[in-house]
Amino acid sequence: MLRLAVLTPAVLGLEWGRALLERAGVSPVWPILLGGALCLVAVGWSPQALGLERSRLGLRLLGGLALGAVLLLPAAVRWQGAPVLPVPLAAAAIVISIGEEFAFRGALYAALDAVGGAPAAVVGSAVIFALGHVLTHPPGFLLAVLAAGLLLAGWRWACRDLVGPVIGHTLADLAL
Amino acid sequence: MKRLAAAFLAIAAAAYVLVAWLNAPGFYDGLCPPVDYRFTSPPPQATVRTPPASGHATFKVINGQVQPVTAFTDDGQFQLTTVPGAFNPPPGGAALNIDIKPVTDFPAHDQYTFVTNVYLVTANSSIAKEARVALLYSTVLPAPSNIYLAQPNGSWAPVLSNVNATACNIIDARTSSLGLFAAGYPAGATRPSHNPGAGGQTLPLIVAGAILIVLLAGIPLALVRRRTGEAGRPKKPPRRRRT
Repeated sequence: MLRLAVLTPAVLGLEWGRALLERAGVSPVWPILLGGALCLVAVGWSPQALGLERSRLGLRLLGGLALGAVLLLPAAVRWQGAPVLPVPLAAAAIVISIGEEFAFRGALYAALDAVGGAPAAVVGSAVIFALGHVLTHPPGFLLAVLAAGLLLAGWRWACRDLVGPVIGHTLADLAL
Repeated sequence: MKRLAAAFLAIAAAAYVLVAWLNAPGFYDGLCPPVDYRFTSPPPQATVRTPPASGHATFKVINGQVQPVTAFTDDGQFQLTTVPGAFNPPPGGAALNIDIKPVTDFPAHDQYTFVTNVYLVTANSSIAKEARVALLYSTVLPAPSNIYLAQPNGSWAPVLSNVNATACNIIDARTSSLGLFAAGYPAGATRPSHNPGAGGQTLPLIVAGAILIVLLAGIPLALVRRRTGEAGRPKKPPRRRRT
């Protein structure tokens, strides 16, 4: 419970801080640093608790591609062309998506699971994930973020795997 | 338990696709958030109905040289920047005045599809060096591939010099004349790509590739796992015959 009480404000603070920095138009280095800091909240958890085991790696990688395809499907169907992310922003997207997965589906999920079991972990991590995006997304888009959080946390629960969400999330961030 | 997990994942995936369909483009991480673009004539898919803003800026002339210029509309949708001395000093020692206005009356542009407003940029002096124009564009329309400038003969021509995408949803280029500007792409180009990269088809290709890999690699992997599972499973003891 103590871990959860410390982790939740820390993760939300890092996410909101990143959003405010991006709004201020600072160099992508700062969002990259804060994204990296999100990875640090997973320090102290065992790979098993985070869903980072090496077994069935092929299936985990394929799961990540499948999650990425689902996350991108609505945009891909109606795609009308857009610029490719400039390299600094692409680097930021990769670091941030990995950091968010370690924080939300890794450490926070594990802490919530320890307190209230799988249902609390899946729903709780998705709700906190949506809260983490209130400064970067218009209100109408938060439902899509919540649904994405439920899908990624659902995978984390069903497959006990974090590799899939990391790959899916990174693909989505790079493409949108 | 496995069935419950599979059902939950299927429902979560379907729910996400439905919600994301209603709020295009769906999940993204705020690196390039949607733009609430203010159109002079909003397309049906635009949700913002606020009219676009104009801009006005005054710049001093010091020692016969016009200072660096950064003029923009109040909503930030159009920006003009120059280096020192890019404008000739206005006559009579007056300050340089620049006006930027979104306009609805402009020459026909049959050859090009515009995705931004048309902006009229005027100054009380002529331009001497290249200036940089930057236009924000909406996320509800296709991305532009160039910035176009109205010509004295009433036609439109692309601003060919140094077209860039330096930030999300902003296209900029260098120009050596002022007048009417708009961003767009050649008419008939249904999926225009942006200049710096091949972004036009990237997303559909990524999704198609991901689906293909999942199908092509997932089926053999599932078969191997099934065979491995069957080989590792203990054989059932033979039934005893009733005598």
